[in-house]
Amino acid sequence: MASSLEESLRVVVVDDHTLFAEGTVSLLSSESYISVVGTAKNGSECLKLVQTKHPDVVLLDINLPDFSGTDLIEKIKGIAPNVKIIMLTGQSPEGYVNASLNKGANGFLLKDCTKSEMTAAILQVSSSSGQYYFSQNMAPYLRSVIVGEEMRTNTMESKKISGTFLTPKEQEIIELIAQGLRNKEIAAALEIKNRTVDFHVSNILSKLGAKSRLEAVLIYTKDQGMGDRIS
Amino acid sequence: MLDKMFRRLALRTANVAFIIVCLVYVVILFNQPYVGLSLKSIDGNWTVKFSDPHGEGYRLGIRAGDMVIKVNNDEPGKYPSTKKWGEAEGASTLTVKSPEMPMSVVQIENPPFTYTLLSELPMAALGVIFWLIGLVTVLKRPFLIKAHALFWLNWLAGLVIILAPVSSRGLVLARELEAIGFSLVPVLLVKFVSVFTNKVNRLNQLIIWVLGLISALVVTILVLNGLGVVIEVVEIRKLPLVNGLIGTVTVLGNLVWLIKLPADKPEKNQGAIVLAGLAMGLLPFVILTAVPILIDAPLIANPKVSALFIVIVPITLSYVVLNKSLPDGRMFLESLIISLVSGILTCVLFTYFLFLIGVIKDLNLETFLLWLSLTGMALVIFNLFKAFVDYAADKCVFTQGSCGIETKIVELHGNPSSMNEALIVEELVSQLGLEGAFVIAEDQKGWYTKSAAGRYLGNTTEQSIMEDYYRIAKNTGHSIECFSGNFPAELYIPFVSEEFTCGMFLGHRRSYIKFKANEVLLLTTACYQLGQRLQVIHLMKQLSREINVMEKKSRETQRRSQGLEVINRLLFSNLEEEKKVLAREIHDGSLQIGLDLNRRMKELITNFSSESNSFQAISVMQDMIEDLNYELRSICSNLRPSSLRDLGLIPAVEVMFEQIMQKELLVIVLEVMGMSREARFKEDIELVAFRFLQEGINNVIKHSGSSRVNVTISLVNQKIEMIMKDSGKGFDPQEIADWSLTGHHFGIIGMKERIESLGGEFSITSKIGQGVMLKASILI
Repeated sequence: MASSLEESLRVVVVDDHTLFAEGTVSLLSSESYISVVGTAKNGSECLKLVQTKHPDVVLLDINLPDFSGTDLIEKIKGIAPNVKIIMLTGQSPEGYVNASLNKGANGFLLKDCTKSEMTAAILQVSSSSGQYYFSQNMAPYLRSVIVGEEMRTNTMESKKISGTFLTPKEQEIIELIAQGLRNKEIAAALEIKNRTVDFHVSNILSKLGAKSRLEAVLIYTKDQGMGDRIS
Repeated sequence: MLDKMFRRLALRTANVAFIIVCLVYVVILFNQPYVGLSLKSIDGNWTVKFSDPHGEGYRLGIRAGDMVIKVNNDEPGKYPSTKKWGEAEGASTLTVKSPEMPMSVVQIENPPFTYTLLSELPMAALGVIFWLIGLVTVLKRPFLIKAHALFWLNWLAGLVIILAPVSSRGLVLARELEAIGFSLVPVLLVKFVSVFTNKVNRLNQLIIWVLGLISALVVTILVLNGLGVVIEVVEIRKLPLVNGLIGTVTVLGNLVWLIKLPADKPEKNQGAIVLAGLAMGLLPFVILTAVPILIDAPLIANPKVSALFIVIVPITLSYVVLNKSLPDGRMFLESLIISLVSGILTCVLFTYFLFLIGVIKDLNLETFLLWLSLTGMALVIFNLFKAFVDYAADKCVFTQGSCGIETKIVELHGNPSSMNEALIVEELVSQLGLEGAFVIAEDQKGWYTKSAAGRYLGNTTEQSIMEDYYRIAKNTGHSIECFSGNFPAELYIPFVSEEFTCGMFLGHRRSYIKFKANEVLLLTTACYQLGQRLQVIHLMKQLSREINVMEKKSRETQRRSQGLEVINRLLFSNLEEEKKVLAREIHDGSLQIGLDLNRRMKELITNFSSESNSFQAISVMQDMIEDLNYELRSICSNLRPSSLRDLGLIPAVEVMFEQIMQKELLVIVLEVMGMSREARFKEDIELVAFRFLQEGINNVIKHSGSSRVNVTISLVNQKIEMIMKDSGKGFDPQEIADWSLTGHHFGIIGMKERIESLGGEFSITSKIGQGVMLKASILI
């Protein structure tokens, strides 16, 4: 659906958590080019809204009481093939990204994303470019998608230059990983938060193009050996 | 075998011969009158030596001393019977000259049918009885040599007795057969006695030989005579008599020898009984016939009547042969002799008294014998009546009394046993015909019961008196007691065994039934048996009670263990349910708030300049909220991965494995066969399968030290089969049994429990140093 800036974008928010849905609505209400035409608490309400209000974008919580979010994508597309769907997830979106994209979702947002991110996502998916939008914080979660599917060649390239890609902090951490330390142990050793370590490890793995910790260690130690020889 | 067959054949032939002889005899008997004259030729004149009072000759007036002029209108010397035997049997007319009487011709005719019948029946019956007794004996004891010997003896004796009247009628061969038979009887008699004594006696054998020789001699003479060789044939009659004499002496000698045997030999008793039988059988004949003949007095009774008593002899012999356990023969002999002697003495006194009062005119042996026989007959009749009345009275009149206690005890034990003490006591009372019984039984563990029957039923006063007595008697160790006077019961019998004591009170003081001294022993036995029965019943009841209790207990245990099983399953499923609820609550509540809060904080931060203090504080707070959300998310994911619900087993497993691989130095190789990634199963099946893999991987991480795990998930025959193999340390599979007891590796035990609760199978195989293989299959 082509939409101009003059006309406001019609958005439907689907979330069974009322409080959160209200928050989303209030965040979006300050934007003049976005008008929330309805909120739904579950899948069937959502389908009714899609039928009656003809929204441009549906902000769809992945976790609904009656439908699993991914199943609902198909239903919505079945009623209105042109409607854009942005998935909202409060959990780690692993596993869901692929499934959602395959079913026809257009973007993926973490629930704690900022207002600007949300509006940007709405704008991007409803633009004619047809690009997917992903939350910034989703980078670690997208690794599997990127590594597994589309960006295989890129990762192969990135792998060769992995050593140089890693920040000093990340290098510090992978050394500890290679020694066999677990994330919690690393967090304790470096006196940083668990979440930070997890975040770094995710980044390391995605930078090295590794699917498992062991693979990452193997790639890293191999590169180090090479680097040592070069230098 | 042949011997047996021959013996059977001989037996049959003998019986057939006997019957034929009987029939022939009867036919002839009625067609041939008995003349009964004994003639002797004196200087060519045939004089009557003896005229039998039962003969036709006597009836027609021919007496001893008369002269027979003609037989059948011819010289008597030419008539075969007269010529050969000195008789006139078979003659139809006789010309007789009595002294001082004119010569007369008498016509010999058949006497009336009834006359012949009545006069010949007794002896014929005697013969048949002899034969029948022998036959019955041999049929009853077909394998007993004694029985066979007795049969042959009786057969021959019966034959001889039956032949006697025919022989006296001078029929063809009858006299010869009679002579042969008569001479053979002693042979068989001695043979029987020698078999009977169970001892091959040389003397007996010799005597049998001698007797046999004499018999053979008799036969030879008769045959020669028949062929025309004339021998002084009248003398032949004496040979069988000699035989008879020798036989009698031998038999008596054997019997005396038997009686002189030591008391422990059964033959002694048998001998005594046979002797008593002989005495009883022959005494009447001696008294009534033999003695009068000897003293030349008129016969007291017809010899045919007195001969009937002889039937006692074969009966006695048969009885002795047939029965193993015999009454005391000495007692018989003793009472017989005592009766005889006392009878003779009584009769002497009686006869003398009769003579004194003038009833008897002459005091001689003849009168004495008459009175003796009368007394004897009276005694016999008296005893017969006595025995009969005794029996009748026993049967009809006094059945209610205690006279039949023996049979009642037998009945009592034949009855089906009941388990109720009171019923048993009642049974005893009714069976023994008592008026009351009171039984107390107790054991050492405090069990105590009392049962009353008959008059004691409901009579608590008498019961308590007897209970008091029982307690005292038990303490003082009293034994059987017969009461008199005021005590309620008549008899007290205690029964004491190791752990069981029983006191039995029998009878009632106002009862008409009084125990006799000789019944006490019998009652004691019955009561001991009752006591034992009560004890056994008590033990059985105790056992059945114990069995019941045990059964109840075991059922309870079973129920409890079944309950535990259910609780176990519920516990696991509840655990999952709780986890699910908790995950949802966190996810839908706190996490959503956290997310919203985080979003708002981020929004807030954009309004502050990065230099201000507030910015620093707020960004720290926002970071903390981010941390909080992160923690909450991972808690939710651990509690119940939502991917399992939303995406299915395989994607959820993939996500889990990826997460693990990121966190652990472990490579998991997953192979999925027979199903697509999107395949969905029932929620609990997916959950259990997921937990199985999760738990298995956790165990690998914790225990194996392996860096590689191979996981295969396949769908085969409607079953999800999962195999997880590591190459780690492994363990001794024998430890598995202890895990549930020690609480170690509870995860694996729980896994097993949950898979089996879905009807699945679970197995662990391992060897030390060779890794572990977990296998699970769940029916979908």
